[in-house]
Amino acid sequence: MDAATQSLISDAVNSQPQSTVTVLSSLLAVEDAIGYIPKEAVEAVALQMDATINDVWAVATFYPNFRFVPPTEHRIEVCWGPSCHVMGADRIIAAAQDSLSLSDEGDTPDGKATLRYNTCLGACAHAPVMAIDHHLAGRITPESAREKIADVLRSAASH
Amino acid sequence: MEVVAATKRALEERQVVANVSEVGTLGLCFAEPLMDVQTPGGPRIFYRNVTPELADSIVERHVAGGNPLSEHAIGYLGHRSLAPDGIPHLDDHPMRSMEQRIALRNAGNIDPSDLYQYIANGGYAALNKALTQMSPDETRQEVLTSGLRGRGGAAFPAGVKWGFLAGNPDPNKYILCNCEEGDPGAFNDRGILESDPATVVEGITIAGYACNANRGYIFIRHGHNQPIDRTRAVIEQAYELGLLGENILGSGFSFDVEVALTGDSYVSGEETALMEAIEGKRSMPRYRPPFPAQVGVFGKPSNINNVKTLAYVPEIVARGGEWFASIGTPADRDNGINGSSGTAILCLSGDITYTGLMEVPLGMTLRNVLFDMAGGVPNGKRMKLLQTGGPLGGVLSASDANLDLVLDFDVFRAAGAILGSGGIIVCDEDTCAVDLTRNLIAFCQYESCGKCFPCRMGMSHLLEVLERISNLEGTEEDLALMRNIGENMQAGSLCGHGQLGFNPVSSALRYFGDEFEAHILDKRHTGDCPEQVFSPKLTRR
Amino acid sequence: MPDDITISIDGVEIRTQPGKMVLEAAIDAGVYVPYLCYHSGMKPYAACRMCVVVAENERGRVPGFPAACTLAATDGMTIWSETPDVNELRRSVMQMLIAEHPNGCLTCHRVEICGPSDVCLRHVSVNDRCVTCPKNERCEFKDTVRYLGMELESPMTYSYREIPLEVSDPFYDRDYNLCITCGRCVRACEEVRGDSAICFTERSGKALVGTSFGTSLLESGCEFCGACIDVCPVGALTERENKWEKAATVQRTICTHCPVGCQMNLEINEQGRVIRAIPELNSPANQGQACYKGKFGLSHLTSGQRLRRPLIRRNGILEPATWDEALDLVAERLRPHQSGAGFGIITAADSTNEEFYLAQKFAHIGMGTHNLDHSGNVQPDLTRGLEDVFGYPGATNSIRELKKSDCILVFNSNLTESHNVVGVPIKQAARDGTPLVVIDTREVELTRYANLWLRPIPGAELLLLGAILKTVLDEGLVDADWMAENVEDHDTLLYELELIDEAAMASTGVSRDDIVQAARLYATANNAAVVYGLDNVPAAITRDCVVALCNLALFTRNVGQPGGGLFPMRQGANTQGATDIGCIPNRLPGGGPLFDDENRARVEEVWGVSLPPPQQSMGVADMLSAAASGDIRTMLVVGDSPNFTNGLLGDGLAALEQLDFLVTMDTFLTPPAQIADVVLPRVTFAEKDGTFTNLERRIQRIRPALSVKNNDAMAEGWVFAQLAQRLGIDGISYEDPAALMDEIASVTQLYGGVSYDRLARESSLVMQTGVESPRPTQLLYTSREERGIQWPCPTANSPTSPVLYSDGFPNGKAEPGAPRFRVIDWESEPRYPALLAPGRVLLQQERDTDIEYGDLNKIIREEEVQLNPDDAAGWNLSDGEPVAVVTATNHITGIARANESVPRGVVAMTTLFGELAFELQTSEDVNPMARVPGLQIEPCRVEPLGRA
Ligand SMILES: Nc1nc2c(c(=O)[nH]1)N[C@H]1C(S)=C(S)[C@@H](COP(=O)(O)OP(=O)(O)OC[C@H]3O[C@@H](n4cnc5c(=O)[nH]c(N)nc54)[C@H](O)[C@@H]3O)O[C@H]1N2
Ligand SMILES: Nc1nc2c(c(=O)[nH]1)N[C@H]1C(S)=C(S)[C@@H](COP(=O)(O)OP(=O)(O)OC[C@H]3O[C@@H](n4cnc5c(=O)[nH]c(N)nc54)[C@H](O)[C@@H]3O)O[C@H]1N2
Ligand SMILES: Cc1cc2nc3c(=O)[nH]c(=O)nc-3n(C[C@H](O)[C@H](O)[C@H](O)COP(=O)(O)O)c2cc1C
Ligand code: SF4
Ligand code: SF4
Ligand code: SF4
Ligand code: SF4
Ligand code: SF4
Ligand code: FES
Ligand code: FES
Ligand SMILES: [Mo]
Repeated sequence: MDAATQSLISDAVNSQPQSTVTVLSSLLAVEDAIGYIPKEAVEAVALQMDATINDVWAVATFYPNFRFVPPTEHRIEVCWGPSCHVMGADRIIAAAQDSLSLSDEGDTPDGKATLRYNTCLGACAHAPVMAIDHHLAGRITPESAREKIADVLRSAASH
Repeated sequence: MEVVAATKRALEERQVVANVSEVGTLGLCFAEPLMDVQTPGGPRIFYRNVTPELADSIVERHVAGGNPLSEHAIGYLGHRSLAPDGIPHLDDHPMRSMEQRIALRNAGNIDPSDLYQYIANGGYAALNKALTQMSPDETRQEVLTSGLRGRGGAAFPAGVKWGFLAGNPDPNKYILCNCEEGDPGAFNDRGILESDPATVVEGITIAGYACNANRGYIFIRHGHNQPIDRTRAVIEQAYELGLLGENILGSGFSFDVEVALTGDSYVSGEETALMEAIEGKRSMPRYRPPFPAQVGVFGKPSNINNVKTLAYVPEIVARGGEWFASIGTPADRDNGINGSSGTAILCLSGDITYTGLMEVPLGMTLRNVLFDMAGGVPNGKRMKLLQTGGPLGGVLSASDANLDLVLDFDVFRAAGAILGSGGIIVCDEDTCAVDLTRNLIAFCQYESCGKCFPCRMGMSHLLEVLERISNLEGTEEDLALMRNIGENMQAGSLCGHGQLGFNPVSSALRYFGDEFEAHILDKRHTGDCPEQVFSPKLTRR
Repeated sequence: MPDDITISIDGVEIRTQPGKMVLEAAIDAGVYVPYLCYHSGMKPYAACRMCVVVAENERGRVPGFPAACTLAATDGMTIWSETPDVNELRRSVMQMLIAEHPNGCLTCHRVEICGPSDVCLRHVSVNDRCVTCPKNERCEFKDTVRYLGMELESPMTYSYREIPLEVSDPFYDRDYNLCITCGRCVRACEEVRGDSAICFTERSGKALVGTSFGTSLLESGCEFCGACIDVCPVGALTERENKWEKAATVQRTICTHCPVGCQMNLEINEQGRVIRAIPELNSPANQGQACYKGKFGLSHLTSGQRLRRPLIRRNGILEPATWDEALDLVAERLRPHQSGAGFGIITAADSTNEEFYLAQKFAHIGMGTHNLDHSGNVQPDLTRGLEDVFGYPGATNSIRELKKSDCILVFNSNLTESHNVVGVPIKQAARDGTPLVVIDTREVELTRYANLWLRPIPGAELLLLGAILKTVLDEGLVDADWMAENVEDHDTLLYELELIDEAAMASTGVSRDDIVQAARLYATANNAAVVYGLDNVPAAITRDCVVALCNLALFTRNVGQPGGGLFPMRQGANTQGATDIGCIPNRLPGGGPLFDDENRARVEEVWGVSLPPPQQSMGVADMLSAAASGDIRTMLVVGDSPNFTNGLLGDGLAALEQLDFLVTMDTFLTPPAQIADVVLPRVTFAEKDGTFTNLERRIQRIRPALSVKNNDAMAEGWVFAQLAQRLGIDGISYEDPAALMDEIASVTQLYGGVSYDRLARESSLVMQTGVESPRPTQLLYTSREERGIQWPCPTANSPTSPVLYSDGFPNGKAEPGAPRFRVIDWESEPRYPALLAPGRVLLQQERDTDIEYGDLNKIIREEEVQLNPDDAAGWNLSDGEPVAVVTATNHITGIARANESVPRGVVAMTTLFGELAFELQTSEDVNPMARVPGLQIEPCRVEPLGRA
C-alpha cells in the first residue's frame, strides 16, 4: 500500500462530518475516498473504533456496496429491481454483459470497468435505469446501453 | 447535471445575468429533466425532457430573447393573466390537477438547500407555534387528533407511537427518521429530502419536542447524494439560526439532529435493523420486546417514523389536527376500516403514461389515479397488474373491482396488497405474473439479512422453486411446497421481511393462479418472459 | 424466594424468576424445548426459530408463535411446546437446514444402530454420514432432527457448499460445510470471551462465520480458549486431537494447570484415554470457560514418554526398579536425617490438599524438619502482605464478582496468559463499560481493553502506587469514618506519603494526569477490585507493593463488599491449599505460626504426638541455596516444576546437583529427574482423588478420570504413607482421602466444616439429559452443579464465604503498613543499558503478514521496536530504521519506532500471541503448557542493523 492511499484512508476515517462515528460510517468514508476497503482500512477502522478486524469485517461484508479490491476506472450499474424488470432490465443487463464481455457482474479483466447489478437505483419512474460512474441514465434501451458503455470505454482508452 | 452545466455555459457565453438554481422534483418524472425559466414580471415556464442542446436554445431564445419555446414547454405556473401563447397552465396538467399538496407543498418551488426560502414560505411557523403556545402533550395531542398514520408501511398511528416514547422518563431519547427507502418503485422519501428537506427537519424537531427527546437521526442510504447533501445543508443552517441545538428559539427545548448513513441493505429500513445500522453494525433486526420506545438506538428509548410521516407534522401543527383529519377516508370500524387521514404520496412507475410522484387525498380511487391523472397504459395496451407497497407488498390484478379500490390503508390490506410507502408499479398485458413474482422474490432473497433461519433459507428455496416454474420445469408439488415454505416463513420469521416476504407469491397465486398452472401444467409462458431466467442471488446452495 | 413465579410448560409446573425467558426457565428446570441458537450464558439471539411455542398469558393467547428464548415468563403463563402447528413450523425449518447440510444419516431410521464400519444400505457417501462426523455423539442438530421425527425424504434439493476445510490453525479444525449459522461461536467469542476473533460474514443465503479477509485464527486475535468449539451444536468446529474419537465415559474434575480451578468434564474413550476436555457450564469459578491449557493441554496425560516404573541410579545410570526396591532405598537414605538436619522436602504446586497434609505431617513428626515447601511458592509476598494487613492469606472475593465490579485495577500480571479465565469476567466488565486500569510496563493483552494504562519505569511500581494513594488522600476520596473504626493507626503511612513530592511523582515515568485519573477511577467507584501479580517487580519491593495495594483498598473502603477486594494471582494450581494446610515454611496446618507455642500445642493435641522443638524453617528458595552451599544434603522433590529451570528460583537445577541424595517424583523424566538418584513415577491429576483450593479459596474435588494401566505410577500421598511405614512413623495413611479431609478439618480452623460428604451434599441436581432432550455439548454432562466451599468454614454449619471481611477483620482492625515509597534501580550493565518490555499485541498497523499454510503455521511479520524519542536520539537511531534488540539470551530484529508513550530507558516490542501457539504446536516438550513463557523484562541494548 502506498503512503498516499494510506493517508487517504486515515483522513477519511478521522475527519467525518457527523458526530456519531461508527464502524459503518468509517467504512463508508473509506469507500468514498478510495473506492474500496483494503486490509489496511479494516485495520485503521478497527483501531479507531476500538474494535477488532473481525468486527469490522462483519460489517463490511454485510453491505454489498463494499468491495475489497481496488476499483476499476468505471463503474456501470444496472438495476434489476421490479420497476426496471418490468420495463426490460434483463435485456439491458444482457447488453451490458455483452458490451463488456462479461458473463456476470464483476470487473473486466483489463481493469477498465466494473459491472454491478443493483436492486434499485432509486429512479424507478425512469425505468429501466443504469448508472455510469454514479450518473443515472433512465429509459435505457439495449442499444443506448451499448452506446453509453462504448463511450465510457472509449474515454477510458483515451486516458 | 449536464443540463445545469450547459445552461451556465450558455448564460456565460451570452453574458446574461441570471440565477441558476437547482430545485427539487415537481413530481413529473416522465418529463424530466425539467427546466423552468422565470423572466422578470413573467410566469415560470417549464420545459420538458431538456437536453444540453435544448438548454442552449432556451437560453438564447427565451432568457436572452424573451420568446418562450412553446413546442418544448409543458406548462407555466403563475397568475393566469400572464398566460403565454400556446402554453397551458401546469395545474391543468392531469398529473397535477387533482393533487392536494401538503408534504410536497414546497417541492419544486423553493431551493431545497436554502432554509431562508423555506422560512419565507411559512416554514418554522409550526415549530414556533408548538414551542411558544403548546406544551409537548398538546403538540402530541394535535398529531393524535389528525389521525396521521405512519407512511413507512405499517400505518400505525403516529400520535400513539409518540405516546410510547413520551411516557419513557429516560433523559436521553431519540427520534429516528427512516429514509432507507429500499422499496423499488418508491422514491417519494428521497423526493421529499431532495426537494424540501427542511420540512422533515422541522417535523423531526417537533416530534422531539412532543416526546421530550433530545436527539434525532435522519437515516439515508449512502450514495443518494442529493438528499444527503441537501438535508445536511439545511441542518447546518438550522443550527446557525438557532432552530436546532441548545435552547431552540429561547424555549428551553434543545434538540440535535444529524444524518446517519447506511450501506446497501433493504432490511436496514426495518426499525430495529435501522438501529443496528445507526450503531454501525450489520443491520440485522433485533427481537422485540423490548420495543424501541424502551430500548432503542445505543440502548436509549427511540421512536421511528418514516420521512413522509414527519413531513406532514409541520402542517398538522400549523393548521390543526382537525384540518388534516378532514382529508381522507372515514373510519368504518365494523368492517375493519380505521380511517386514513391526509394524503397519499404515490410513486408511479412501469407501464404508465405519466410516471412520477403525486400527492393526492386518500379516498381517491385507483382508477382516478391511474387513468384520470396518470393517463393509463401507453401504446393502447391493457393494464394487467399492479404491484403496490414494495416487494413485500402484493400483486393486484387491474380488474374493475380492484381499480375501484379507494386509497385507504385498510381497504388495500383487505384486498391482499399494501398501500404502504406508496409505490405503484403498473404492468401491461405483456408482463407475466410468474416472472414478476420471481423477480420480487429474487429481490427479497438478495436482501434477506440472513439472521433467522426461516427467511435465510426460505427465500432461497422459494426462489429456486419459482425459477423452476419460470423455466417451465415446475411440478405440481411445487405449489404446495411454496405454500409450505412461505407460510412457515410467515409464521416463523423474526422480522417483517420474512413475515411479509411470501406476500408477492400468495397474492400472485390469488389473482393469477392460472398463470402458474399454465407454466407448470401446460409448459407455457404467459407474457414476454425471458428464455432463461436471470435472478442475482446471495446463496451458497 | 418470594419473587418466584410459576409457569407451566406442556402441563409441567415450573418455578422461575420474573424477567427470565421461558426457554431459560425450561432449561433450568430440566424441561426440554428444542433450540439451536440459544446457549446458556449468552444473550438470546432469536435466529433459529426452533424454540417457537404457543403461549397464553393473562390476556389470552400471545399472537403468532413466539420464540421461547425471547419470551419473558410472566406468572401463570401457559406454554405448549409440542403442538402439531409448532412442530410443523420446526420441521419446515429443519427440512431446509437438512438441504444444506450433509444429511445422509440424519433422516435414516437406522441412525441409532448404525456404526461407522457398517455398510450403508442407502448408499450414502462417507462425507455425508453422521457416523463419520467427529461431532456425531455430541451433535445437537442430529438430536433435534430425531426429536422432531423428520421424514426420510426431503422435498428439497440438497447441495454441498464445497467450502475448503480450515485445518491450518493450532488445536482445532473448522468445516463450514457443516455450519448452520446459529452464531453461537461468534457470540461466545464476542460476548463471553470479549475477543471477537471470529465474526459473521456476508448476508442472506451466504451468511456464515469466519475471520477478516479469511485470515488464520492466529492472526485474527484468537486465544484458543475453545469456547466456540464447546458451544458449536454441530461438527463445524472440532478439536483436532482425537477428532474422530468418541467418549465412552466422562468424569468431572478440576483443571490443574493454574490456580483458577476450572471444573472440567473429561471425555474418556473405550481404551480409557482422555480425549477431550469440556469445561463445566455450571461451575462457579469458570462458568463454562477454559483456556488453551485446560482445553487442549491434555496430551501429556497419554504421552508415551511418561515414566512407568521407579528408577534407581546405578553406576551413574537410571535403571528400572520395583517400588519396594526404590522405597527401601529412599527410606534408608532418609533415616539418618530423622533428627531433622540436612534434609528438605519440596512438594508440587499441584499436589492435593490431602497430599500436602501428609507431606507436612511426614516432615514435622517423622523427619523432625521444617524445611518444607512447594515449588510454586516462588512469590510468597503475593499473600504475605495481604495477610499482614487484613488477616487471611487469600483473595478477599470471588472471581465471578469481578464482572460486577465498578472499577478493576490490574497490577503487573499477565493474567490472560497465566490465569486466563480470571480475565474472562474482567474483559466482560470492560466491554460493558467498567473502567479498567492496568499498571504494567509491559504491554499485556488487557492493556488493549484498558481505559487507562499506566506504564511505570521498571522499578518505580511502588512509588507509583504511593503516588496514587497520595492523590486519593489529596483529593479527599478517603472514607474517613470507616477508617477510624476499622483501621489501625496509620500516621507513619501518612508521613511516608507526605514525602512523595512532585519530583518523585515525575520519576515514576507516569504523567501526573494519569496518576490523578487512576486514583479517581479507583477511589470513586463503589466497589473496586484489585487483581495483582508481582511479575517483574524487583524483589526488594514486592511485599511493599502488596501492602500499598491493600492500603489503597482500605483508604477507599474497597474490602468487605461484593465486587471489591484484592485478588493475588498465585503461581500454582494448589498453592492456596499448600498455604492453608501449612505446606510452607514457618507454618503448621491451619496456617498458624510454627514458632508459637500455643499453636504447636493445639496441633500436638490433635495429632497426639509432641512436635520436635522448632528450628530453622526454610522455603524453596532457601533450601536450594542451602543445597548449593552444602547445608542440605538430601532432598525429596515432588513434581514437574518449570520453576527450577525458568530462572524464577535462580539456577535451581545446579543447586540440586550438589546434593548427596536426590529423590524426585515426576510424571516425566524432567531436568531434576535426570539428575536424581531415585526417580519415582507420579500419576497425573486425572488419576487421583482429593481436593484443591483455588485462588478464590474454593475447596473443590478432583476425581480420578483415568485408571492407571501398564503403569506403576502412584500419587505422592501414597509415597509419603509408604515411607512413613518404613520409617516407623505413625498416623500417616493415604488410603482414604475423605478421612484425610476430616483430619485436616480437625486441625485447620478455616477448613473446620469441610468434608467430602458435605461437598457432595451441597452440589445440586441441575438437570437430566437424554435422547429426548439434546443439550449443548457443554451441558451434555451437567447433572450436578458443584459449588465447592470457600473458606473460612470453621464448623459444619458455617456457610461458604464468598466475600471476606464483610463483618470486619479477624484481628479487630486492619493494620495498614507503611512502606517507604522508593524506586529500585535495575542493575544496569554497561552492555545492556536499556530494559526490554515485551508485549502482547493482537493488532498491529502497517504490518506485513505472510502466512504459510502447510503442516504448521508460520508467521513472518515485521516486529516493531518502540523507543522513547529521546533514547532513539541518544542511541543514534532513526524512526523506521531496522534494528536489533540484543539481550543476554536473545537477538530479535525489528523496525525502530519512536513513541512518546514508552518511558525512557525502556524498549517495548510487539510479540504476537500467535507465536506462543506456534511454539506450543511445534514444541517437543510433552507438556508445553506448563512452560509457556511469561513476558519477562530483560536488560537489553538496541543497535542498528545493516548500516554501512
Ligand atoms: N489427531 C488426529 N489425526 C488424524 C486423525 C485423527 O482422528 N486425529 N485421523 C487420520 C485420518 S483417518 C485421516 S484420513 C487424516 C486426514 O488428514 P488430511 O489428509 O490432512 O485431511 P484433512 O485434514 O481433512 O484436509 C487436508 C487438506 O485438504 C484440503 N482440501 C479439501 N478439499 C480439497 C480439494 O477438493 N482439493 C484440494 N486440493 N484440497 C482440498 C483441506 O483444505 C485441507 O487443507 O488425518 C489422520 N490424522
Ligand atoms: N465432517 C467430516 N467427516 C469426516 C471426515 C472429515 O474430514 N470431515 N473424515 C472422514 C475420514 S477420512 C475418516 S477415516 C472417518 C473416521 O471416522 P470413524 O471411522 O468413525 O473413526 P473413529 O472415530 O476413529 O472410530 C470410530 C469408533 O471406533 C472405535 N474403535 C477404535 N478402535 C477400535 C477397535 O479396535 N475395535 C472396535 N470395535 N472399535 C474401535 C472408536 O472408539 C470409535 O468409537 O471420518 C470421516 N468423516
Ligand atoms: C423489511 C422492512 C423494510 C422496511 N423498510 C422501510 C423503509 O425503507 N422506510 C420506512 O420508512 N419504513 C420501512 N419499514 C417499516 C419500518 O420498520 C417502520 O415501521 C417505519 O419506519 C415506521 O415509520 P412510520 O410509523 O412513520 O410508518 C420497513 C419494514 C420492514 C419489515
Ligand atoms: S426475517 Fe429475514 S430479514 Fe428479517 S431477521 Fe429474519 S433473515 Fe433477517
Ligand atoms: S454435524 Fe451433526 S448432523 Fe452434521 S454430520 Fe455431524 S453429526 Fe451429522
Ligand atoms: S477459540 Fe476462543 S478466542 Fe478463538 S475463536 Fe474460539 S472463542 Fe474466539
Ligand atoms: S460454526 Fe458452529 S457455532 Fe458457529 S455458527 Fe456455525 S454451527 Fe453455529
Ligand atoms: S484458567 Fe487455569 S484452571 Fe482454567 S483452564 Fe486455564 S489453566 Fe486450567
Ligand atoms: S427498480 Fe430500478 S431504479 Fe428502482
Ligand atoms: S430462536 Fe430461540 S433458540 Fe433459536
Ligand atoms: Mo481417514
